[in-house]
Amino acid sequence: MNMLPRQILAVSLLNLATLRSRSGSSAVVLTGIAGVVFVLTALFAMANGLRETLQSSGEEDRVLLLGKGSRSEINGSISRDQAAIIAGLPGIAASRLPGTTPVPLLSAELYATANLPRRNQPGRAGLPLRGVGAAAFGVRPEVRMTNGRDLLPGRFEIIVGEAAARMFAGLEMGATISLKGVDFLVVGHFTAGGRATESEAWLDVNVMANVFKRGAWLNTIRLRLESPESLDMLTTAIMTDRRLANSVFRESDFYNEQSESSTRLMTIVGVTVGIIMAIGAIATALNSLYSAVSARTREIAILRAIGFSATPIVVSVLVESLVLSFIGGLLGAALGWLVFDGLSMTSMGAAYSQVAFRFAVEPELVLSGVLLALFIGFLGGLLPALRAARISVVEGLRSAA
Amino acid sequence: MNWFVLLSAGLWRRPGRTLLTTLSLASAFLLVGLLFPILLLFENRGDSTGITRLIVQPRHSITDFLPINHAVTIQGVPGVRSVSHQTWFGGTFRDGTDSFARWAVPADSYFPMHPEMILSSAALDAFARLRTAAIVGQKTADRFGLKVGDRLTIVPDIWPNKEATAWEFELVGIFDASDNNVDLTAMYLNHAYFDEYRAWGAGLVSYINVGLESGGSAGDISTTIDARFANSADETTTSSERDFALGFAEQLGDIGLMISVILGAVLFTIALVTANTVAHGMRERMAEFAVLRAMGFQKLTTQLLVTGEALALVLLGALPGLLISAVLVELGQEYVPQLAGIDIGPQTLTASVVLVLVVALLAVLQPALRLKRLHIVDELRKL
Repeated sequence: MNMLPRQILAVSLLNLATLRSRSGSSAVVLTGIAGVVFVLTALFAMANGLRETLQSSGEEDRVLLLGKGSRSEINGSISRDQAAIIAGLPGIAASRLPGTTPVPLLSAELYATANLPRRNQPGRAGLPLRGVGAAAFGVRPEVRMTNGRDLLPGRFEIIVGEAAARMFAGLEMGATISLKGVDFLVVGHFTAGGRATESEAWLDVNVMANVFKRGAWLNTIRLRLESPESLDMLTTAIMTDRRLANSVFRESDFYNEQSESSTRLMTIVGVTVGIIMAIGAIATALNSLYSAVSARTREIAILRAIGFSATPIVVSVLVESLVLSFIGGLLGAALGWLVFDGLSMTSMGAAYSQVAFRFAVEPELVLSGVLLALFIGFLGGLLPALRAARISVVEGLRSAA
Repeated sequence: MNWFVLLSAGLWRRPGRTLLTTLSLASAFLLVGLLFPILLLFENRGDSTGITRLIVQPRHSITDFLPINHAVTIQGVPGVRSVSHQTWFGGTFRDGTDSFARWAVPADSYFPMHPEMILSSAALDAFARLRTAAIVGQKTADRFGLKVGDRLTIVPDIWPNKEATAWEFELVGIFDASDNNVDLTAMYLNHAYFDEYRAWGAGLVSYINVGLESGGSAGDISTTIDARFANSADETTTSSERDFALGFAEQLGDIGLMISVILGAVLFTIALVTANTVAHGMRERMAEFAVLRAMGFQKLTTQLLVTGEALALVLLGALPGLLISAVLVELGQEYVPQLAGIDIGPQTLTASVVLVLVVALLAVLQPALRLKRLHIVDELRKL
C-alpha cells in the first residue's frame, strides 16, 4: 500500500523538474508573492521598530504624574506647590549616597517642543524639550553623558540626546540654538540606550520656566518607586490628598499606550495593504497555475492512463504552487530584511515631536511572511489542482501537446 | 465587422482568466486609490477658498503660544482686513475615547472670518451673549447625541481653571459646513470666558487668524508680519491655511516617504505581473490573429485590436478598484481621524489614467512585436 506516496513523490518531482519550461508563468507567481511579502515586511518592521523603542523606554518601577485628565506630557499641568507635596508622599524611592540625607528620587519637569530643521531632509519637525533639574539623572540611571558635560543650573545651556542630534541639523557640540529668542549653547550629548528619551533635548528647568513664561506651572513629574508594588500606596496617597489632582501612570504602561496609538495607523495600513495585495497575488497565482495545468493536460492524461490515481496529480500541482510561493516568500522577506533591517527612521511620537527608531525585521516577521506566502500559494493552487484531477483521460490524450 | 464584437470575443475567450486578471488589476488600483491620496495630502491639503486667509503660528513650536497683543500689531499691517485667534483647549470629554478638537475663539471675529461654517444666527447670538457658550460640529453632535441646551463637561489637561474643577459649557448651536475642509467634529467655546477663568496663561493664544483684503498679496503680507516680530521672544511663522496644515502633515515625514516606497513596490509588482499575464494570453492566440490576417485584416488593425483589448481589460480592473477605494476612504474616515480630508480627486484620477495606459502598453509590447513578424502560414499550420 505504499504506492500512493511513491506516486506522489514521482509526479511532484517530475512536475518540479519541468518548472523551467514554464519559467515565465512561474516567475509571475513568484514575483507577485515576493511583492506582497516585501511590502508587508517593510510595514511591520517599521511598526515593530517603533513599538520596541517606545516599549523599552518604560520601567516598571518608574511613575509619571501628570495633571488630572492629561494623557500626554505636553498637556500636563502641575503647580510647584503640588510637586512639593508629592515629594513627601510614601512609596517613593530615595537616593542613598553615603553621608547625605536621603532625597526622594523625583524629578519635576517642564515639557515642550521646538520646531527645528531636519538633518538631510527638507522641512522642520518637533524636537521634544525637557526642563530638568539634577534629579532627572537620579530618576533615569540609563541616561549617561557621552560627550561634553551635564547642565549647570541657571545657565542658558542645553544637552542633546544622540538620536536627536542625528535627526536634527545644528545640534552639534558647541553649536547654539535659539529658543524663544534666547540662544542656548549645546554643552553635551547623552545616550539613553536607544530609548525614546534619546530623542529629547534637556535644559535647566528654572531657565526654561523663565524663557517659556511658564510661571509656577510644571508639566510632568517622574519618580522612582521603592518597588514596582508601591504604586498602589502612592496612588492612594494622591487620591486622598485634596490638594492634589493627578493622573498616575506606571511608566511602562504609559509607553505601551503611546506605542499602541503611534503604531495604530501603521498597523491599519499594513493589514489593509496586505489583504488587498494578497487577493491580487492569489488571483495571479490562480491564473498562472490554471495555465500550467492546461499546458500539462496531455502529460496528466498520460499519467492517468498508465495507472496513476488523481491524488498524486492534485498534490503535484499543490506542491508546485507551494514551492513557488515558498521561494517567493523567502525572497520578499530577504529583500525586506536587506533593505530595511536596522534602517533608522523617525516618526511622530508624543505631541507632534519626533522619535527616532530602527526598523526591526525579526525572525518571527520573516516566518509570518513565509507562512502568508504559503497560504497564498495554497489558495492559488487548490482550484487548479482540482481541475487537473478532473481531466478526462480520453480528451486529454486527444488534445494537442 | 464590428470592432466591439471582435474586442469582446477576445476578452471573453477565456472568461476565467479575464476575471482573475481583472481581480488582480482591481486590487492594484484599489491600492492606488487608497495610497495616492495620502501622498497628495502632503502636497495639497488645502483651503478651497484660495489664499485670502493666513494663519500666524509661533515660529518656535507647533505646541507653543503667542501673546494676544500680536493680533493688534497684525491688524495694523496694510492689506489686512480682519484678525481673529484660536487656542487649543484640549481636555477630556466623557471617557476620552472619542477625541475631537476643542478651540477657544472670540465670538465677534472668528465666525465672520470663516463663512464656510454654517451656523444659525440664533446660535451666533447665543454664543456671543452667553459666557459659557459652546458649539459643536454636526458629526460630534450625531456621535454623542448632543442637542442644543445640553451641558458639556470637559475635564482639563493643559488648561486647569482657577477653581481646579472641570469646565462646564452650555451647547448653544450645532454647525454644518459648506465645504469639506471644515472639521465637523470640532467644538468651539467662548474665548473671553476661557481667558478669564484659566489658571495660567491669560493672554496667550495658539494661532492668530488673518483675513486679507485681496488674494494676491498673501506672500508679501506673510513676510511683513513675520518681520514685525523677528528677533523677539515670540517670533512668528505666517502661512496660508494650506501650508499650515502641511506643516502638521510634515511631522509624519518619513512615513510619507515610506508610503511612496510601498506604492512603488506595489505598482512594480502588479504592472509586471499583469503585463505578463496579458502577454501570455495573447501569445496563445497568435493563430487566431493569423486567421484574421488571412481574411484580409491589416497588420496595423490586428495590432490595434490587441491594444484595444488590453486597454479594455486594464480598464475593467481599474474602474471597480478605484470605485471600491473611494468607498473605503469614505468609510475609513469614520474610524481613522487621520484620514480626514483625503479623497480621490483629479490628481489621483490623472495618475490612474496614466497607469492604465502604462500597464496596457507594457502588456501589448511583446504581442504587438510578434504580430509585426507574424508568419501567417506557419501560424495557421498550428491550428
